Amino acid sequence: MRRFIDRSKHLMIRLSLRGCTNRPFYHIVVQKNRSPRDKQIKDQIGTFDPLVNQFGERIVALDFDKLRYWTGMNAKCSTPVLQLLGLSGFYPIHPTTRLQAMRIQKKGEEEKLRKQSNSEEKTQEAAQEK
Amino acid sequence: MAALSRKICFLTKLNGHSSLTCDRLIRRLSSSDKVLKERPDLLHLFLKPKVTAILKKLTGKNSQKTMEPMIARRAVTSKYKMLTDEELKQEMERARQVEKTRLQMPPYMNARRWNNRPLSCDPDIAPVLTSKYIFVDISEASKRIPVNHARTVLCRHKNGVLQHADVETHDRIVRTYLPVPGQEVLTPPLFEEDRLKELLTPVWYTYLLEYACTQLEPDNPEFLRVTHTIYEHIAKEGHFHHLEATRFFGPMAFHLAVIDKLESLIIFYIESDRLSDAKDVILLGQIVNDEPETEGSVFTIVQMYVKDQVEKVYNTIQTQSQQATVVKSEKDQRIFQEKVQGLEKLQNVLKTFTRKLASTGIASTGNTIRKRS
Repeated sequence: MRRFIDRSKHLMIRLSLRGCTNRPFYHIVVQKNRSPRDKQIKDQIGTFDPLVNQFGERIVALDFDKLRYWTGMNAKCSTPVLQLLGLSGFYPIHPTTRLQAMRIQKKGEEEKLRKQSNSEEKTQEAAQEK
Repeated sequence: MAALSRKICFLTKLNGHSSLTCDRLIRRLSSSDKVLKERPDLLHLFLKPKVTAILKKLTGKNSQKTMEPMIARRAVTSKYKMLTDEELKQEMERARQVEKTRLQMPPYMNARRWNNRPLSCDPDIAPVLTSKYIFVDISEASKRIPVNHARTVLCRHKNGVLQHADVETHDRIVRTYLPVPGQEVLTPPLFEEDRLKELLTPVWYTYLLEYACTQLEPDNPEFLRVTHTIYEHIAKEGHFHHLEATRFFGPMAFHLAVIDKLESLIIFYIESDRLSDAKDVILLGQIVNDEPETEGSVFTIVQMYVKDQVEKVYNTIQTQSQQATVVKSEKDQRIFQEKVQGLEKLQNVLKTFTRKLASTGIASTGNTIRKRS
């Protein structure tokens, strides 16, 4: 009688964290959905280097043939993988990416308004002192 | 480089059989544009059987030089064996095959054109993109990806535009993920212009050319710059015998024919009493520049060629003097001056040669060629 029952329902294409301290590096792997992040990997179909290199690039290597095969075997991609595939043009841009962009832009605009109001206050104070 | 060379060799074999498929393949590899300032047909010309035959003949056959092992491996490569006659024949056959591969000429191509049409513009997501994202396709080589040129390398820029990566980035990323022994990921600084100038001595010609072939693809702009610089330097100094019996003599001769600087090569052959080779060089120039091929004996061909070239130059000078308003760029003027000087030198060399012939009465150089029907 097996002690450990595999309750996985489907295959996942997701990022598996490799590398070492202060140096993350992701493998894009195919696993069953209940498997631990770094173990029981069915197939590796690419890599993603999250650190920017000397040319200012983040490089994603993907084996698109294998990706197509596993998608055909009904594997689901995790959100980060879908985001990367959206950026690559293989899939459309993921809604999460658009949401992140909107949030960053909103934050930026609020910062700008705050800075503007701060500088206005400072000029008003300077004018009052005079 | 190796895969592309194999493809080109396959194409040369095809050239005899099915020219249509060959043409299509070459066109795909050459990636020609509809309107090109340079000549789009250079690779096609280079692979023509006529041209290949001439280049092979000019390269010559010096087995000692071609089969010379690398300096570091000389102590290791000498082996002594006891062989029967049959086994000796087999070994000689194997050596001939190795020589054949060592004399395979790297293809002479135009620079790869970068398809910079944006595949997708998404300025909305620009705030998320804090750096460029590069996407490589590392699938196995197949019908979809016959050569590394055909690998998709896309770049998502910071402003949200998705494009094909430019030629340098493309090659660098492919070298990162598909390494070849002897290839570095980042091109070594010895190919930079200043450092290359220092290294242009006869000792380093073959080393530099071999290094460029291992490191870079034959249509990489860097490769073209490096090889063209080396070929032009050799032509200027006249150090042709260093490249003879190597696989670079053919592309060098072809390059000189393309840029129309064959004078020094012809001088080299006349001075060493090899008129038939001079005639071959002239023929090569005529095929490359699409001029009618002259017929007759070897000596007359050479004489006629020199006469034609000098006439052309005189005509251009006359037209220049008449149209005083035509302003030529400095570079063009310099090239023209060099051409004039080269032609003067060629004329003088030919004069001395004819004088020598007349005085000593040697008939060996009159290698009559059967007139082409």
